[in-house]
Amino acid sequence: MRRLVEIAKTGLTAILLHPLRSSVTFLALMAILTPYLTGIGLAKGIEQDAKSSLRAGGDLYVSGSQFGRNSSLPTTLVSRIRELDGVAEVVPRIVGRLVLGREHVEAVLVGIPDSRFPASVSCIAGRLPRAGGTNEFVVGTELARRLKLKVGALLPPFYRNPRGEHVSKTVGIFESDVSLWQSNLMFSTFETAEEIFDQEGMATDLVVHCQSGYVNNVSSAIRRMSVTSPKSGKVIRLMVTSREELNVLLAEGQFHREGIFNLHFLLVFVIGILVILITSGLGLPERRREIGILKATGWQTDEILLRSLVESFLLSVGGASASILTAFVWLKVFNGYWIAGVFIPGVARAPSFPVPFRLTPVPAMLAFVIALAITMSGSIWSSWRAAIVPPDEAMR
Amino acid sequence: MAATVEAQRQRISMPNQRLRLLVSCCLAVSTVSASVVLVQEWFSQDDVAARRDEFQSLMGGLGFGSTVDLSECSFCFDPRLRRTCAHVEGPIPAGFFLCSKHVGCVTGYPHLLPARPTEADANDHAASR
Repeated sequence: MRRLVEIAKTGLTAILLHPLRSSVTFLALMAILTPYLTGIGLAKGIEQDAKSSLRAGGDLYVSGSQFGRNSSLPTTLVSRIRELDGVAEVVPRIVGRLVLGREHVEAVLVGIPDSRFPASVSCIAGRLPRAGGTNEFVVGTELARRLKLKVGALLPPFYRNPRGEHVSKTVGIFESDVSLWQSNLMFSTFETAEEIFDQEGMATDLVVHCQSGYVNNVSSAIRRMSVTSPKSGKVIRLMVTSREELNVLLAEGQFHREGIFNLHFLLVFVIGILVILITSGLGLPERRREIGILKATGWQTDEILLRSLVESFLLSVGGASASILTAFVWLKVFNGYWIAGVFIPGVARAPSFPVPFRLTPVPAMLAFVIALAITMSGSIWSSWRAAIVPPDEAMR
Repeated sequence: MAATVEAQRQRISMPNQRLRLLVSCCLAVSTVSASVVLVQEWFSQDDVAARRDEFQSLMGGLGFGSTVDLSECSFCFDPRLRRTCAHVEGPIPAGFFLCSKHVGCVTGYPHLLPARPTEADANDHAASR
């Protein structure tokens, strides 16, 4: 046992014998693992926020469809759904896209009836919008930064409505840590959103809260309802999305993280080959000679393989640990500067909100296994090839 | 020859002791620090959970994917707003793979399929006939 430990200690010696080779391997491992851990950390953080979005949201979301595409719904549907057995509350909602200013800043306008607003909230610096008079908004942090908006700032008319356009007022700014989705948000009353989009009596979706045990019945009853568009008189098909469906979607999400990770696999492939070439000692006859000398002085093939294994293990542990620390510092201290914009489309280089992230042990272990597999696939085979030839041939 | 081999063997087995100690310490410190970070992250409390829930309750549940606006693909922002990627309905076959929001994002989820007719739907359909 003691001999095995002594041999294992020479694994560290093997790292120090070729500092350039070890450094390049270490840096290449970091180049592979840091983006992977950062991306997974962000994905987990977003997943946590999405869970909150599902938990605090409605049981059912009703939207309309015409020609297989989304369409708005008449608000008259609200009272019909309210009459169904098991329905606790129905909230009409407008969620739409706006482009503001000369710089074409993207904004998401959300309108909710002010009767649904709580008396006070802690997620807003300022106050909630009020209906009537001036259009009042609560804006997200990124929008406030880009449009240089502060509480009390006025916005010139930015929309078209035949009944006239009004100046809008910023009455609050969302707290930056409540969610990443607040960043480009403009939140207002339902009436204001109707006026901005010039869609009186229409909602983009209805949020339905059900009594416990009634969700499936209510969902079926809503799907069977017949609705016509108040303008064209044509049929609007109703689509219902339940919280359960979204929970399933969230669980399946971890197997569908294709996006950026396809690019990452390419990175792993390209840099991984470099690591394998370096660790296999290509262009490094000195390493082969070393093994020959060790064989000549009485080392067995399995001892040489153990030495090589320990060397790969230490490089992998070092690379994985440094990558975990780099990912943590990058996301926590530097708030995902630049990398958050790469992984979350639409986010600025320096995000105006704390980027959501969560580093968990499983991806960290996976990072270590990837590192070990890459380094070992280069070193073990080449060490074994050098160890099985006669020492004088290896030393030549 | 024997002396050269012995010198090389010495070099292989006994490099600079100070450097060896330094590298060992660096490895140990980075491993322990990484473990501490993971454990701390694992047990960390969500300080703003109440405020986040309040925001989501106010919005009626908004946001699901890894994008912060509705440009190009609202499905990537929230599948409650659109059940499939906009590029699925576009003119280019397999246009889903051209969606810039999907190419660059870290979260992914399958499209929401239309709900299958339930037994009640079938009964209603039969009654209407």
